[in-house]
Amino acid sequence: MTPTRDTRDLHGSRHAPALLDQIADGAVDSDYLDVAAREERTGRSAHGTRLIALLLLGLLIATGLVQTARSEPAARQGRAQLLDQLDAGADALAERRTRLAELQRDLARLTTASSSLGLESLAVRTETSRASRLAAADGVEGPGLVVTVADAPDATSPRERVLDKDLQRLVNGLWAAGAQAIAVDGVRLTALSSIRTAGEAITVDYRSVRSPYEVSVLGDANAVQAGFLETTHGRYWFELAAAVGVTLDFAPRGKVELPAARRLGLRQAQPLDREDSGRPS
Amino acid sequence: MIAVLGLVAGVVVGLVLQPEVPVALQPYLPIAVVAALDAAFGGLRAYLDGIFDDRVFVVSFFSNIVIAALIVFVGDQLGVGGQLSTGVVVVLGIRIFTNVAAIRRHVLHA
Repeated sequence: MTPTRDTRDLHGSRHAPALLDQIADGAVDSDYLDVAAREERTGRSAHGTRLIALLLLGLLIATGLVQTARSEPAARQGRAQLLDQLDAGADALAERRTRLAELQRDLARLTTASSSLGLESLAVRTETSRASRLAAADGVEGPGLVVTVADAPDATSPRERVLDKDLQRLVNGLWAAGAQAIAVDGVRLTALSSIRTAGEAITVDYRSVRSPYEVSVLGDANAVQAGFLETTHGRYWFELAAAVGVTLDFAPRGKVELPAARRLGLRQAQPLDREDSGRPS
Repeated sequence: MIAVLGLVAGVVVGLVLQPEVPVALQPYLPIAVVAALDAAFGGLRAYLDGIFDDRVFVVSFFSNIVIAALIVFVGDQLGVGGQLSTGVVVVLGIRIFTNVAAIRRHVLHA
């Protein structure tokens, strides 16, 4: 495979001839030409070496064929195995994809459920706080006013004192005027509170209170005061004050604090439905 | 004629005996076969050209095989065995084609 240097030199070209042409030109070993030119075929008689070489060629070809044929099944088996693995992998992938879609569906469903539960929980909390304010279950604070009533100065007869029914009228009038929460001398009133006379004193929810009575009211001070005066209880109280000298005084406050009611009776409670324990009944 | 007989005998012996090639040499067997084929076709063409010489044929035959196998071996050691064997097969293939074309011209005069 000696390159054809002669042609290049002949043409004086600096470019090598095309590689493939070069290979094709050198296809016959130039040794044959050299030997043929130098001497007239000296080794013609040596048939033996030629025979050995060709025998070896045949042997090589046959061995190559046998080798390829022998390794064929193994290669095919390997290919089949790879294909099997590929199929299995594709199946697993499809399975995972299905699972993914399922999980995504679940996620979407649960997200929707969670947001609706969140709304419900908000509604429940709102309802709970409204109910607890109405039931006086928790202490409250906020803008309001303090109504102070007292027996007439140097009262002699019981009529010149503030009586239990007077306090009842006052409280009812305040409720009617829009009070959100009321406490008498620090005793929070609920819908079931009692104001009674017991001996010399008045009891509010069985706790004695004494004149002057301080009634704390949570609510809009002006609206409550104006509203109270328009109720029959309000008019009664003004007439009473004018007639017997008991005093009535409104004092708006930026902030009043009312404690929780002392007694809270459970009258309407019922057990939660087990099946539906997460939701309000 | 005796040469063709030798070739046939070699094929028969190979098919009958099915010699086991050492695993280390297996990658070089196909390349060796192609190199041997190249030498054989070159010899046949030289024979038809009337310039055949036994010594040249035998030397080119074995050196072809050894060099081809050696190139692939070195390529394997360098990590470019596949590319080098492709190159060897391309070169030998072109030579075989060219020689067979020349032989065809001799035999068929076309």
